[in-house]
Amino acid sequence: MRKQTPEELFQEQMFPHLDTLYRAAYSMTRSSQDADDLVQDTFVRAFQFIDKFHVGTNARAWLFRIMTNLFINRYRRTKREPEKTSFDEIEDFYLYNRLQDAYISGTSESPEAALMGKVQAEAIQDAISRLPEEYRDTVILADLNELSYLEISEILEVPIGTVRSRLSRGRRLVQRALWAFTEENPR
Amino acid sequence: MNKAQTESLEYNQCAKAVQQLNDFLSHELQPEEEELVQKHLLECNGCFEKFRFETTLLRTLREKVGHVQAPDGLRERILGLLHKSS
Repeated sequence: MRKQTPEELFQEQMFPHLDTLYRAAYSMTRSSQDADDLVQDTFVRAFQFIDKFHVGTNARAWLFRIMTNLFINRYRRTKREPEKTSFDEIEDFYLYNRLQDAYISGTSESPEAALMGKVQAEAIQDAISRLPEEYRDTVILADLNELSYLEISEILEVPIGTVRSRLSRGRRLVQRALWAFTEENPR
Repeated sequence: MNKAQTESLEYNQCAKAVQQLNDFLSHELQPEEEELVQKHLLECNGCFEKFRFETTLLRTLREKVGHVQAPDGLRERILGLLHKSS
């Protein structure tokens, strides 16, 4: 069988992931221009290093790894202060409990109805973009792009246990930010 | 079994289910573990409500943000860049 040219390999294995990568890039940068640039650079970089890609392995994880590294190197904001909150202080079911309280006190609909009505795309993007970096990448990959723990651990080059704990904390932080956003921006 | 024992047993089951919430939402539980969680959700209305809320929240995140697509022309621009760099 004839060996694929790099262009053919790209068309077949890399381009199908364009939308998924763009979606993650948009959540990371929150700017369509920066997302555009980041995805372009990711593909150019991937093309330059195509001989490092092992045919038959996970092209999506490989592209994501390139993109995440580019993002970290290029767009990382000035070093953040370490997050001061102890995450363990955020209880399980944080958002549910807040909405349930509001429901019982008669100021809101049932938690699920309130969720549908109040939580809009803007609030979600805002909540995710405010996450500390390591939680944000994990939440974007797991919750927006539905990647498995294994894939995320390959992309971010951390153990699966770390993916699990970052996701658990990241999800709590998202819930707290969503609640804060809906409180500040009542509809 | 007396009432206190039953309550403590229920509490343990709830605590165990909650511990597995994130893996459950991510479909990362082993089939037998997932079955145990599902069984608990059928028996425990409190956990059922909360788990359903978490599942809906996750679906909402995906639906509201997941529709973002690469803009028209990005693919062509990338192809142009690749031709230049090859």
